[in-house]
Amino acid sequence: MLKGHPKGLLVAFFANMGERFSYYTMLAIFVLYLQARFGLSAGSAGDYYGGFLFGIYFLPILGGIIADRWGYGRTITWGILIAFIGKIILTIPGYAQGLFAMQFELVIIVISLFIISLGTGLFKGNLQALVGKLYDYPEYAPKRDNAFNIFYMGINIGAFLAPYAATGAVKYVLGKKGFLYENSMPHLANLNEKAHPFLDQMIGTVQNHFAGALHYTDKIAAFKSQMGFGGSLTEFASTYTSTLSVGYSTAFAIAAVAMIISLVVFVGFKKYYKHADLTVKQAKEKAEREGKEDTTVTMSKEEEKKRLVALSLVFITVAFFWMAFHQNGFTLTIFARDYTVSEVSAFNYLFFDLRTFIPILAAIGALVFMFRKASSLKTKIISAAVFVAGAGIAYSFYSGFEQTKNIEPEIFQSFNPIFIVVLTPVIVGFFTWLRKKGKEPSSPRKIGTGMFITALGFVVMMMAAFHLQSVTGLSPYWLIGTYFVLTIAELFLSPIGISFVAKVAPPRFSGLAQGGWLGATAIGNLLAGLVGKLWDIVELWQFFGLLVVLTLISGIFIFSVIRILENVTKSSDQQQ
Amino acid sequence: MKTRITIIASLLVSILLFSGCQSEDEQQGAMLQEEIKTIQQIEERSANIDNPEDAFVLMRDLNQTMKDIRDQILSVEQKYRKASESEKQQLKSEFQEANTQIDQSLKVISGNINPYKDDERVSKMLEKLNEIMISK
Repeated sequence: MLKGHPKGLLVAFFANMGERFSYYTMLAIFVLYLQARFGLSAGSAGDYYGGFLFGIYFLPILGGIIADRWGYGRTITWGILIAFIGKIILTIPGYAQGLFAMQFELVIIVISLFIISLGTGLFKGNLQALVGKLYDYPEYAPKRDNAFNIFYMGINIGAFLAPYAATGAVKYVLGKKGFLYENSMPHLANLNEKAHPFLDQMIGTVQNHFAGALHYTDKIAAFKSQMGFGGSLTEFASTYTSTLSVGYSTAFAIAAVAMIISLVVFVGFKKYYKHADLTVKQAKEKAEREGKEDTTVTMSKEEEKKRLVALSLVFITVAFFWMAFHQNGFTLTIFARDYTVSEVSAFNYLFFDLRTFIPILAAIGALVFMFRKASSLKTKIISAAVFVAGAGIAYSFYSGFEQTKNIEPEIFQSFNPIFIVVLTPVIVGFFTWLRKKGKEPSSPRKIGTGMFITALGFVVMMMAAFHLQSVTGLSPYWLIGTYFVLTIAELFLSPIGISFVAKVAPPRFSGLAQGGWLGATAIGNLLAGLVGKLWDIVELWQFFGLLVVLTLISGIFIFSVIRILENVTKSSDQQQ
Repeated sequence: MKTRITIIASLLVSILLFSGCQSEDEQQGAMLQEEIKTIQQIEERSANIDNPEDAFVLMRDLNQTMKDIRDQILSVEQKYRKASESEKQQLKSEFQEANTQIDQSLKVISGNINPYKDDERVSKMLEKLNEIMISK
């Protein structure tokens, strides 16, 4: 898969993977941390989270402007350092007591969040721009799309592993004090801290008519006895939350260490991308200094305008893709909760437990290599060993499963990063095969096709909605199938879109254009929430139908302007 | 060609702008009025339930409304803690009035749901209701 690619791609891959791992580790526990440490309600913690995400997606525009003048590598390095400082501040366990001290500490946390988003803003888009620049050479240019597919896989490996690292660290710290990880405890402890004259009364009202309704003290008492704590409820709540807070700080420390690894990779292997790390001005100065011919692309204002128009057209479309795609963490999870069966057989559970699913995937991959004609004897032997190990591990866990197992609705979200990792080599192989036959579609065509595949994903959901009229609970395979189709769409659209931006952006705006791409993603995320509000208003099939229509319109739109997009792509190719 | 691009681009941009311009209605007037209206509608609907599917949908809607009630109560309590004595009295009496209305609606809903409480999906929703007031 990496054959014929510049080594700089690997540097960017691992630097990005480290940074994304760090970012998602932090994100996995961030809201819970705010609640545990500062007693914030879910709504208030959500406000901080929303503000932080806004910074993460919009500051790359600023980062792009800076890098286009100052240099990409330098901006990226500072980005990693700045984000590292922000994460280090988060690792300091809070010991402040009293309202003023707590508020002061919260201000420090807000400052650290700004520092992290600034660092990410300097890093994220510019690393994409730098990868693009590695492929501005004729020998590499045809592999640009594949390169971004590989680069994208790094993001998803980091994102996939992060929640396990975060919860692992928290569980470890709690375990040392004999506590179990219970993420509802911070909220319960906060409720227990203050008097709730109205909430208590309302709980009583619910209890009058629905026997079994719980008071928060009931729940805390249940956890206290489960964890064998001897003191009072208040002592237990306070000890638990302060230990939890230390656990979160430990997870933030892991996030900070990952930034260091990212920095070491990026700075330590600079020689592999140094040649491409040049702004237009720097390239001209270098040519003058070395007395070489200036090969920098000089572009007329008119050409720049054409390219910026093309980029804007793609940004508009992409916002609609993210709007549809990010229903995965929202309405599709609600669908999983309300309409999908909550219990599956032991066999089906194989695909919901990472301890069995990953070995199965490894075994399937090994099987492919075992029977591939091109595989050497050594590869076949290693593949056979991997197959036996994978199948053995999966079977050993499977044999311990009960006949039926419960599945949590959130678990469906983990299918996307797994599918990304599994499908990237397939998609890359598919495009490589088409290229060899001279039939590889242009990037804009791939993006347009991606929009149609997205529509197809939601057609599956429409069918599920119709099927629901005749059954009480749906098989989980409807959702898994949708996630599978949406992941293929994502691979056609997101890495290829980044590749398109890298190729088409006027050289003096490379960083800014990548920032624009992330800005479009942010608008898409915002739209996802707005469209999601229709969930309770319209019928299920109408909701998914609307997503089908919107993504189809976006796909048609891309194909209606395909000539404009392909013309700018061609002119970029000619200039390389 | 240009006209086609302009039309489709304006369509997509207008959808973007239209969605972006929408805002949530501000809660105004007496305490929990919107939620009480919703719960009373659920109460009316509960009289017509004749199958587990309807009971499930109704319970799902009830849970959502109770969640909204919980969020409203938590924010009113925040206000209550900082309020003067006279404001506290005012808030208390408003809450008592709201609580009475909610109590009446829940009584009717609970009676109408009762025949379906053993259905798997309905019982799942009932379990959720039991924890909704104390969940996040």
